Amino acid sequence: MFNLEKALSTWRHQYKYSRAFKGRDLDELEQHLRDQVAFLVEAGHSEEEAFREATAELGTFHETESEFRSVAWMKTRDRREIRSEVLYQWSLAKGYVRVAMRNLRKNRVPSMINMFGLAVAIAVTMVSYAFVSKVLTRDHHHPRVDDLMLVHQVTQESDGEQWWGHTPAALGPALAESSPLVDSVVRLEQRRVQLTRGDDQFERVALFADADFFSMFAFPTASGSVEAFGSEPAVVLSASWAQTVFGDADPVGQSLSLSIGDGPEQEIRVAAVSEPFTTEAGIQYLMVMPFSMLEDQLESGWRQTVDATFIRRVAGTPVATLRSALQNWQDQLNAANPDWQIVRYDIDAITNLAWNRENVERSMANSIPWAPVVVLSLISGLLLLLACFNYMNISMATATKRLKEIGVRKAVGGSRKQLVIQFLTENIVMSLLALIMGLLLAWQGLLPIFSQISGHELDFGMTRNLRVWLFMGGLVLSIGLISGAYPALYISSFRPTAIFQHRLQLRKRRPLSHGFLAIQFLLAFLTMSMGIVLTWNGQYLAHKDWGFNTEQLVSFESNSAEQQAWLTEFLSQQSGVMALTTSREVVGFSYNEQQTVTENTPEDGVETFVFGGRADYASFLGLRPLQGLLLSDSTMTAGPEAIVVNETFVDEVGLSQPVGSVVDLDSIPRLIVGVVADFHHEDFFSLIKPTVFEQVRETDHRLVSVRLAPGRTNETVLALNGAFKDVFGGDEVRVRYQDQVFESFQEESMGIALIFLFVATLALIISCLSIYALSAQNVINRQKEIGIRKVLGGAPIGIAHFVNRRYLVIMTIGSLIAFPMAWTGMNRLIQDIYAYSMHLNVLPFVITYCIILSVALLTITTQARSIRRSAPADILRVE
Amino acid sequence: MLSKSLAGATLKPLILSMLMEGPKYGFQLVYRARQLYDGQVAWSNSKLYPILHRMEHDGWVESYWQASEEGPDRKYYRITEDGKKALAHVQQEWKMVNAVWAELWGQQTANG
Repeated sequence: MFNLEKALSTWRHQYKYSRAFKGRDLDELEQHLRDQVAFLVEAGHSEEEAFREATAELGTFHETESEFRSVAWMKTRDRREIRSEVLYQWSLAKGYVRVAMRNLRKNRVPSMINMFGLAVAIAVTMVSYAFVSKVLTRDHHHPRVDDLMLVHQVTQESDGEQWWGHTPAALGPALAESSPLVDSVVRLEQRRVQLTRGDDQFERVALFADADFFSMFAFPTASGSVEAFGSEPAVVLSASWAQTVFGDADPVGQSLSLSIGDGPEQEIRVAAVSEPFTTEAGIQYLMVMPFSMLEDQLESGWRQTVDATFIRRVAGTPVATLRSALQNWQDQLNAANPDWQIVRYDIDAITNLAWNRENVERSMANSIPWAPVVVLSLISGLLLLLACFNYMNISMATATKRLKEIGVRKAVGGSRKQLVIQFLTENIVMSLLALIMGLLLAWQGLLPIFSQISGHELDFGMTRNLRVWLFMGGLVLSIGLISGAYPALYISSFRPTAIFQHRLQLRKRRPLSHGFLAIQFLLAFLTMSMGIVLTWNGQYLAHKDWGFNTEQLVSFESNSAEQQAWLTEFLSQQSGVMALTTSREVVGFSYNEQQTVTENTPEDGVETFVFGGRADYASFLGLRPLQGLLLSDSTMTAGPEAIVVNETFVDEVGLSQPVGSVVDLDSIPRLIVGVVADFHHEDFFSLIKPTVFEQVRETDHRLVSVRLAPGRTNETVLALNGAFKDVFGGDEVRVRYQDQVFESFQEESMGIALIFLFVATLALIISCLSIYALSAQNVINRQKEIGIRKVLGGAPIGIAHFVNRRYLVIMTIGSLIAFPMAWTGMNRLIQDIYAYSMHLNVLPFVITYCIILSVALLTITTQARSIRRSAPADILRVE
Repeated sequence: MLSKSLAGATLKPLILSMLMEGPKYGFQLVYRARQLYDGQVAWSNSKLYPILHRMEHDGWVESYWQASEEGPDRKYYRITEDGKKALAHVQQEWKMVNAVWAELWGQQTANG
């Protein structure tokens, strides 16, 4: 017999433990049910039917709870209620974490494998983050950075507007005096200076800056004070330069003798030493001195330029207002410079300096090194994905272990949502532990190695940077969600009845889990093949011909004609010197840029590298003549000056008969007497430029180059330095070893390859561990089948391969899909990084496949041991 | 049958309009709405109360409890001054929409 009061009480009992219903919400709902039942009974329904219909119209418990939950917080006004709600949510979260930790401990091996994979990927990602964020946020660390701007001049060229980084020296003071929109102005100019400290002489580039330099830019002081900067002749040294000049002595307060360019010597006091520069610092210096010290050397008026003029706008001034105010000084400049007219001044934020470097001529900024930024982002992304898929695959394979847990939770009223939250909590806890492990790995291993390879002092800046914490939080959450969402949804979908009746068909989900596994191998293949191809390419470039003889080639730089003559004389007397020449530039270290114009070239000509020296400079280098002659004293003609050009010059200038042709080089006619084969003078990253060798007056030569007998380099350089110091005192001669150019390129190139090879090895380790965990789990899941096969006489190795052969098939499919992607991607990547690279063939990819296959086979074979140890009787007796 | 999305969009103005007739409790609102729509509207009753509670929080309606003959007390809702203003605003909007439809569909009926 149906009893309405009992039915209502049972209904209410179900709702009363939910925290979504506040105050008298349940009274209201119960009264609603009573009203509807009464209405339906009056309409002719039985009480039971009426109750069923009323509760159905109210919605299921989960629907009603979810609707009420959306307004529950709004109704929680009382402080005690809020506190109780927070405590409740906190205890729920604690429960989730406790269960998560228990499960991680219970599934120790797969958890460790997952965690290791994630930790490695996180370590690589964090190091990439440290590098990429520093490179991309160059100059963001200065105070009031949003108000800091650089003034540019804009000219109209035939192909559009051109921005210039240099500005009239007179603009800075004019702005400071008469513009109320600007609260400070700093001009920067770089000049070579000679410094003398006791017997030591140095010649370096110094930065000259206006008095507000240290208040405008963030260059913290390690010792001394910069407060009086600009009011007296004083110098602030960089940490590294202070070490070079003063060694361990305290430089602050000491005096140096200084001459700027050809100017007179003057005494200058060291006011302060800066702290070492961080990677964020786009503007750097060896030493910085007040701009006022340079005034005597500058022309007055608007023709004189400086390298850069920085302004700091009054906070809140719109950029457009500032820009239009700047135009007041356009006429002065154009009137003073009839040959060089600007169309306007423009401004750009300091944070854009590095980003816009390519669009600005004569910019002081360094451009963003995109190759490592792209490469690092790519490898960390690949590794993270790999680790996530690894996690996903292992979670799904070990799901069988948790069937009973899921069944019991669901049977006692746990909702699917709670299960999903539980699994996702486990993932996030695991990601958090992996983050800690990854950070340790990064700090102790990767960061120092990478700092060395990249030449950047890297750190995460955890104590001063909120962004890195946000990044780590985002990383943990996204790893937890990406790797855990599918397994959580999959595992929580099992029905308890199916679990307890052993009717659950896990195999039905195979195609999707096979797909995930194939993606994992695809990612492993991509990462590994990248590592192998880049290392291969590094090796190829290490043996690539530079186009000239780089062996035992050393150049010495002089500061004056007197030093040049002395160096030539001294070196020609040394027994280790096999050949000697002098020049104005040396290949690999310096060049002169000029424009070549002929009737075939565009109006403003073709950009050309010019090396000037003795007539024999090209033959001294061992360049290969292709046509005509190399320069010699006999090629000096009464007509146009003779030059020798390279193949690229002939192609780009468009000469069909180069020898005997006359071309204009910076408006001076030159006669081509010979063509040499192309050669690389700095690296293989950039394309070979049109190049010219010319004979120039010996008085312009500042370099002496020698080819030394093998094994005589150190001895000759030491002897020369000793004698040079005796004669000229102070600074040593600047020596340039040709093989250093070669080595620095090799280092950079091998650095990229090494990083990739390292990551490829990590990818291989993660994949192997994954195969190991999967095949081990597979052996456990198929115990009965294995037992029967053993009883029927199957050999353990055979059984191990038989039950795991699908992994080999999936791996092969993954590799086959990855191959065209890797092929296209690698071709693109090495062509983007290097202008000259190896011709890609199929071999690196075959090697990658063989490595993955053999490691997989080896891993699977290890399962034979556990199969050998398993006793079929024990397994089968259960049934 | 009124679509779910339209029923959802009109729920608040509908409740306010029904409360203009006088204070009502939950089931009375459901019953009145059915009468008005002639049974051509289906909404889940679980949605009604959270919406009423939200409107109460926003100050559009206020509630009071009264003893009932059977079971727990009954909660009544009545419209506030703010609720009336909100309703006036919504009425303006719906009248505008109505005018647009009338013009468009009136033309089409005339042409068709």
